[in-house]
Amino acid sequence: MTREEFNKCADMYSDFVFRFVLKNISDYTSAEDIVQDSYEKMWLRHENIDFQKAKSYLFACAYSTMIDFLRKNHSKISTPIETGLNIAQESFPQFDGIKEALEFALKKLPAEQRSVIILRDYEGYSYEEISKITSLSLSAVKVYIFRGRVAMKNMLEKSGVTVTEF
Amino acid sequence: MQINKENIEEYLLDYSENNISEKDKKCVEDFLRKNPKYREMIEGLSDFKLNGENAVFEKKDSLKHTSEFDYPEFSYVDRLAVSVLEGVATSKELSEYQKLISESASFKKDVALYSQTKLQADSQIVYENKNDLKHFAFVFWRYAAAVAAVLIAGILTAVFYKDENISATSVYSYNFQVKIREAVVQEKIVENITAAAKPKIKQVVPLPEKKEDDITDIIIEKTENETLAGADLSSLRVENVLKNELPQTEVPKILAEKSEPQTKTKTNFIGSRLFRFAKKIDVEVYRNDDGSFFALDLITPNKKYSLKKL
Repeated sequence: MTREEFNKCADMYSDFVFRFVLKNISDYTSAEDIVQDSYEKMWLRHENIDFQKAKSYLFACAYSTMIDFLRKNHSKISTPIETGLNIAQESFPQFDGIKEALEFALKKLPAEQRSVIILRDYEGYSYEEISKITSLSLSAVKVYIFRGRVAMKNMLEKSGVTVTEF
Repeated sequence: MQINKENIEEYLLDYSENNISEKDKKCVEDFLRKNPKYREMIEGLSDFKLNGENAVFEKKDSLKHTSEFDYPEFSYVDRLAVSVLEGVATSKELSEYQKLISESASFKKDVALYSQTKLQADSQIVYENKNDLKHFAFVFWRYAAAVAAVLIAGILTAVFYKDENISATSVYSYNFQVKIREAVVQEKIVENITAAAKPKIKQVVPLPEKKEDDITDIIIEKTENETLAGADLSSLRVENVLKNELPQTEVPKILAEKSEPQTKTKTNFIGSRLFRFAKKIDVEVYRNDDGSFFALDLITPNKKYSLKKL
């Protein structure tokens, strides 16, 4: 990747990476730092990175840095795959709108479940691509997405918000 | 090869199935002739065949993973709804899904809830400092050019500042240069002045007459919560630089009120701004960390005023 292509990446992808990180850590300044850090890491290797793969590379860097950040801040990263799902059994406040309830439900998910769902929904990545970005196994990605969705659905159900029927 | 009682069994099965070399076959037959009881062992052996090749495992389907989310610990409804939502449902799952949608109200409700879990990116959230991420070539020269612009502006300023007979044309040119200086230096000022005490001019009146060394009192009105702590305002004066060229009425006398000691301290004002353009007469006074005051000069195309510390 050339310098020009690298700079193009700043225009093209920084918003996406920023949204991904911000949605996960809910800290504007730290999210900006993680974006900058990811781009600096890519700059160090930019000559060896294919322009076509730059976006995935940025997401992988951001994900790795973000997980470190969350660990330092004692956030809940993951739940063992073998254990049952109990998030939906936790109590949480009532909400007026579906958007607030969804935001809350998303924040309640363990970071890995939240991350893979955001990558899936925001960026439309396939399970294989998410697996590469997050270094999680393919089966773990599927499990996290499935569990995350079930948990969010259960939380929405418990929140009492009105959902227009399908 | 010697065949004896110890190793005969190794050969019997192959012999019975005729899967043995002629040489070994001959040896085995010699041994059997001498030991007929071993012949009895292999008689009928070829008739003993397992007859199970037609047996089938009838539950093959139970071994297959036909769904992307084949997690038995979760309900079928959940698995079906997520499969469809994720766009990975098989044709069989899709038809079952359609059937359930038309038949089951609770399934319909679950599907509606699941559809809400599909996140939408907020396009309002953007990374604002994209240029900070970029790497430009010849960065050094960009900074060098900026520094050079400041230096040139400073030199021009010093030259013109001494010239009391400055013409209208050169004043205009001068303004242009100073604007560059201001633009560059302003970055520092904006960054470092956090709680600058900005006094307000209470009144501007013409001086009664021209004086060679006109010194007027400046009294500065306090601003809300931001006043000048311990300011000895008598040490500030307005100096008319081009007073000889200006009509008497345009030479201002600035009257304001003395401020009360401030409770809020101003921090880290680094750098200076010598000139500022304004159509209206304005004064800004800043206090440095060491307690001293810094007054900004004011210049307009037709008027120059210098507010200086004595």
